[in-house]
Amino acid sequence: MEYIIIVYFIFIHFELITIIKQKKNRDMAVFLFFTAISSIYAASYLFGFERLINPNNVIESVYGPIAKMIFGE
Amino acid sequence: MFQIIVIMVLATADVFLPALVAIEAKQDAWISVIVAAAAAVPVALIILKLTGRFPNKTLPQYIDKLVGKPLGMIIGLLYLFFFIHVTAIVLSEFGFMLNDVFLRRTPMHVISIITILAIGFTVRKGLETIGRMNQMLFPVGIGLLLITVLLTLNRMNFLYFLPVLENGFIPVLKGSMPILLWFGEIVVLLIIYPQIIDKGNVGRSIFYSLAALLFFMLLGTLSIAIFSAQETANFRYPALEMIKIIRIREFFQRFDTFFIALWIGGIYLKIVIFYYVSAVLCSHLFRLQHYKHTVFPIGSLIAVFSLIQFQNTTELGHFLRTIAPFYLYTFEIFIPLLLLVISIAFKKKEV
Repeated sequence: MEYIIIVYFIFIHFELITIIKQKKNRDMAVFLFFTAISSIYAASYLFGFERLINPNNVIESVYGPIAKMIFGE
Repeated sequence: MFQIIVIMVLATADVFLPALVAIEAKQDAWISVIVAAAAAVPVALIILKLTGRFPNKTLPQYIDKLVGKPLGMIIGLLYLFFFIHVTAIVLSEFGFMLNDVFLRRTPMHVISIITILAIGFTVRKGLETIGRMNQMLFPVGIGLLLITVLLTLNRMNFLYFLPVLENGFIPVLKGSMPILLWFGEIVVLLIIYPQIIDKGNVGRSIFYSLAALLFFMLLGTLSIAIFSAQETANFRYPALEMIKIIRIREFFQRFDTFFIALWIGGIYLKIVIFYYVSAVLCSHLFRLQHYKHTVFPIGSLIAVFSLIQFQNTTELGHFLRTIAPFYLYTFEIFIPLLLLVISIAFKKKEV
């Protein structure tokens, strides 16, 4: 797992250098935003908080009642 | 276009679908497939009409014109979440199957992360590379499917399909709901349509692919003729069970090894397409200069989502059968329909 995280950060690092060289501010902002979100998610997963940040919980709270009505479960 | 849609849908449909449909529709699963295919025609028409009105723009590039900037941004963000989430679901399906059947001692995160890294490189190469890969894999994948059916024909008992409509039409309709969401995956056209060169033939390609999908999904339901509806509903991967029973004399056995090799290719392409669509959508939504910069951050989000959202295959199956139809219909049918109605009512289209 540690090796995979290191490889991931190497990729992110190279990508960031490329964007900085090209001076694309908007690209860099979006890149950093998504990297931050995915890093938060990855950290939560590693520390065992996956149930708290599960996107399915939101989807189930929205569509669950309709599904219960149709499928009765 | 035809090949991309067929491989994209079939990669997961023929593996997971027979069991999901058999739970509700039982021996009438084949009727559910026909009902879903018929319902997919208006869905395809909605997508084609909407993309036809803005042939050189992707969804985030024209949504402002239809619903205004703030609402356009919200719908764009919802679509971005949707495509990332669907890619993660497909990656989960892939990881669970490998983990359940072949790589039992390999942790899920190793499978997910290594797969997404490899797929990330393909996505960065662009749509042409994806198309070329598809050209190589399509004939082999479809050939394997046909060979599987031919080699299991002698074990089929078509009496398992009787009695027809034993419990009425409602279970058939319930069974057709998860199938329609597979057909609805043509929603990717909202993003890749501007890159298609021969736009005149897109409509024809879509309808040919729907017909081909109907045929191949009907072949998928043949697992009921081998194992019965009850047993098929209990299987996690009916297609794999079908392949496991193939034996030619005593020396050709365990065809599942070939199957998994080709299936990995198929599902790889499916993830590539959805991942590519997510990256392009993200870059157009935020008006970036190139989608390539979004590939790795989005990839890591997909990998994490695929790891946290389901604990096991049962949970995944339950989600696909009950929650997913309503969730995916929103993005595959209702929002495109709403946008099409607005576009026609206010006479808005690309100048």
